[in-house]
Amino acid sequence: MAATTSDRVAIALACAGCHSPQSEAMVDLTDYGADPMRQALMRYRSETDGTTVMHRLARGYSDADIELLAAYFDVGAPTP
Amino acid sequence: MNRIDRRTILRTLGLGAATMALPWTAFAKTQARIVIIGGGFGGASVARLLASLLPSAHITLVDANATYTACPFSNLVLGTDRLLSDQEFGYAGLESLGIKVLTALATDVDPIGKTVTLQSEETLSYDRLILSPGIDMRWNAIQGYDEAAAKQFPHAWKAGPQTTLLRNQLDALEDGEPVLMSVPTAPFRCPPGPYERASMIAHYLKTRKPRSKLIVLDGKDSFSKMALFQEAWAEHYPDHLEWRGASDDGTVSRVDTAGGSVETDFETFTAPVINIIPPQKAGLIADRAGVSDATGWCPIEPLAFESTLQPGIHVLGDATIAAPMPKSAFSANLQAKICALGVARLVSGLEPQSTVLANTCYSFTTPEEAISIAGVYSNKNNNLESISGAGGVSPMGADKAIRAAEAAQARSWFKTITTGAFG
Repeated sequence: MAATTSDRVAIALACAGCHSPQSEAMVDLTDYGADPMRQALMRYRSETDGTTVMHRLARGYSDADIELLAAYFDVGAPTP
Repeated sequence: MNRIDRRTILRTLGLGAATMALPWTAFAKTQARIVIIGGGFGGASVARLLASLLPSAHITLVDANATYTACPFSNLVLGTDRLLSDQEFGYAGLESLGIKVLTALATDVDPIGKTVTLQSEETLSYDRLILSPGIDMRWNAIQGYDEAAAKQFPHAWKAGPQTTLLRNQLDALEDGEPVLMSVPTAPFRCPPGPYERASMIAHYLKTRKPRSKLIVLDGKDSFSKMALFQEAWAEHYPDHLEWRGASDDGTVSRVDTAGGSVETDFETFTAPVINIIPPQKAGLIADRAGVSDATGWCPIEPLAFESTLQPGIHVLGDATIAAPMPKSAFSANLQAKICALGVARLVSGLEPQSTVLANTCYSFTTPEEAISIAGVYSNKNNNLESISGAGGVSPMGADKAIRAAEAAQARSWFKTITTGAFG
């Protein structure tokens, strides 16, 4: 079944627990974009000796989960 | 016509503005009446997201207090120069979104007639009720520890006057006098919280009452982030903190306010400052609504956090039985947002959907250093469970830069979570 807007929003809700324009110590995900999101999560997940919070979290997300997150953060082409 | 676009969602959630509008109109038309009781991290967050998802709905938030006093970071009020006012948040941000905020005590719920009764005897009708009532203490679970005793031996496990009382007692302590803390068995609000508090009180003693010592009497033998806390305590507080577990006679069974003492099986401890963190249960309104079970906590289904005991009533946060998700502000905030999405779908005739959930909790070991625990969870197949291979705690033996980085992340988290909930 094709992913819905609800699917994309739901999985991104956890990100917003830490990431915001107010989060000086964590990257603001506003306009982060699909490719950087996919690459960052894949990198965190593949670094088996990584110990940051993001390493520990990324290990819980499947390829399909990461694609959903990337789709959520796809800012696309700027609108006129 | 209302359009819920990605920009709105991101801004609502604290993820900021984005450039691409994503039309999302399925939820826009319902005029459902949604009542939320409890304006903490769960209640305020669910109200905020529902106001965006269901702009035509009538959303009412009821809390007994006009100001919310946050528990996360309140241990720093006890042990450092942080002020209680840094913990306080109002509801003007929610009101600006069209949410009706009532400062009132909800005294009863009729799940059949779908009404909430307030202390004023006013009643509110609802289509969906969301309870985020936090915790109440199990008075007398420790013999002699009741509401009156808490005025002498503060719990400070709801931030506010109790926090100030405990801090004032620490300030009045003579150098050399002991401090006692009692910690209950699980489940309780904020599993690593007592040990962060122990760290902050030990820091206070080390810097201001260096001949004094904190003795922690614990009703269990292991606890959240235990090895990391003990590593920090050995480094920073070898002379200012002693922890005794259950098998070392750590379980406090009785308090004596007249004698200024607490009792374990074999010993009586006397101290001028005694912090009792008592056993807990879901906030009282959960009992009135019939959503708590014999454990004192509230069973829920994990897709929209609807009570398994009372259809039409959702329960969030510390009050729920949501293990392996901990009773944390992060969990309450995320459960609230998942619930908002689920309720928006339910009132629009759609089923709630499964997703991936997460939690992160930071704890300070010194004012400049913190440690963390994270978890990732699935709610597929109506079962909330940890995703194996994910989550875990900060590395042992890490250098100060890593601990300082997590302290900075903790401060950022607090800004994000409070802005996300209260605006």
